[in-house]
Amino acid sequence: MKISTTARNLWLGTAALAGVAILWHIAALRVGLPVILPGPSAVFSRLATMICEPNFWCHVGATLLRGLAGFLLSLAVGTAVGLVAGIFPTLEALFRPLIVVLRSTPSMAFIVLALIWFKGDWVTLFVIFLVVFPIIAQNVIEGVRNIDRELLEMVTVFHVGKLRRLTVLYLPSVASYLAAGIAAGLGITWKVLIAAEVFAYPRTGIGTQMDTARVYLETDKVFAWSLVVIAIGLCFDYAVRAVSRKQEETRKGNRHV
Amino acid sequence: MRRIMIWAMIVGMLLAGSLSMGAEPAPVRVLALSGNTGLAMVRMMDQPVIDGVNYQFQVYKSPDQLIGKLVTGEADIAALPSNTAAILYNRGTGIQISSIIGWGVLYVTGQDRNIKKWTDLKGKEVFIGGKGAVPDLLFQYLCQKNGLRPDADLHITYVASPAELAHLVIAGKAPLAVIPEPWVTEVLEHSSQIQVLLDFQKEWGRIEKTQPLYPQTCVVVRKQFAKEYPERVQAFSRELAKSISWLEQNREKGGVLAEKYVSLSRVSVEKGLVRCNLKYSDAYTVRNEVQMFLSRLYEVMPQAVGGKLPDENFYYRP
Repeated sequence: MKISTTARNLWLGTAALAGVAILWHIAALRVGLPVILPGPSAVFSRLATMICEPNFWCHVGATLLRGLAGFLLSLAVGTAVGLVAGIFPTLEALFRPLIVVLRSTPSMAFIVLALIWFKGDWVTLFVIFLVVFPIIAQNVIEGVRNIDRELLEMVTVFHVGKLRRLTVLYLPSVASYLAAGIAAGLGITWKVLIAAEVFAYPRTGIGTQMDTARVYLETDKVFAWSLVVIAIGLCFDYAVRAVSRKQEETRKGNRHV
Repeated sequence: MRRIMIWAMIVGMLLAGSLSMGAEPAPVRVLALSGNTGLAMVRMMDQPVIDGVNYQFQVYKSPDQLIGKLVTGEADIAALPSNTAAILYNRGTGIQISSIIGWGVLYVTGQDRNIKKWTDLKGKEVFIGGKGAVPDLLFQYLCQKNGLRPDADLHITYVASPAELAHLVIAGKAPLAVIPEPWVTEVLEHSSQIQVLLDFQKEWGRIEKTQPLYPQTCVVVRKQFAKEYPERVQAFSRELAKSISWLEQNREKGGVLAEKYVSLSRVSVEKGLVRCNLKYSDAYTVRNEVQMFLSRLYEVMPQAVGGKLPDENFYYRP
């Protein structure tokens, strides 16, 4: 039963993508000018030649590194702030407005400010941090708040040490919220990173390449790079899901024992 | 007064529209950039009716906005950097180059008076507005010809556009910058410390052993439009040539018009016009210069001219 559902979903997904590709192809034929809308075949053949160029992996690598650096920083700070704010209500009152403000600021505003204040890689780091950090922090705060009250009372009654409380109670309870935060945060990391790169022009990076392609009206290349970014996003999304599913399973397994 | 004129125009347009549907020829749509190319056209913007045909001018800050309109056929005539014209032509967008108007307006500005020749830039940080555009490509080309590797011997920092770079220079945040006129004068007006250190045009002349001029900006026409209305292209070119020579003789009036139409300051036009190298030529008469210029840009970056040098059909012939 389960296998057939997965198979059906896979089939539906493929059909949807194929439908989009067909519509895209027809639209490209109707427009008739590849500068405006290159067809899927042109884009994929461009992608194939791009992948063979040695610089391709340079740009992909630079973007990946930048994205991961920004994301990991946000993850670390976001988790720490989230835990502290979740545990101490005073601190939560302090941090919450800040987080809300950050979350509702358009990421373009961060990019513009970063361009004025910083140079080079600091721009992307700053922008990713300001966008992703509040997502992580908010999720962790929610996680801490939803910890089982009885468990909480129990650790207080039995005088469990602070470090042990963190590792045994807080972190495991927060895990599923954190996982949701990570999935959302990683997804948005690539989006804002590319936008920031387009404006900040680091020497290597997908955003820079996209902008150069735009300047030289190589629209097929812009599409091809977009596909690369989509692929990166999908890969990470898949990895995060796989890891959190596995954790879920082990946790369930532990309970049965 | 101005308000009355605007109302008069609106009423006139409504009347014209209701009374003589179709009798009035459709206006010619012209796109220009707020910089050198716009400056060349200010007089025409002020008197937009030529031989009974109305010319509608739109001024943009960056070529990108203008390219979009041109590609979708929403413009008949446009002023552009000449390499962008080559890219558009090579992409099959159906445009032809009709005239060359800007013959090089690039300079390196800064405070460091020790920089007297190109090789003095070694190890320095240089700011450029517009990655991959003519200033960037030509700067790299001239560096290479002087034995400097642009990616190793000096550090290039990119800013989105010349207009933005000019503000950075004025704010003292770009000690060495490649900027085009009329922004150079704008900068010099705001800061007494900054001066012109290097002249692209002279360096080009020295290296290529030619005149210190290169065809940087041009006018393109939509091929279909040129075929249907050759007389309008002719009239436009004629008036453009007149507008440019009028500007030379009437700097003050030109400055006033530039402030009104292309958001340049009056003073910078008055003082900077000498460095703007505006001169009208029919593109096909200077074909060799254009091909040579494009081939040099091609050397730096083949994509910068659309992957190949344009063929003969690139040049509009009346």
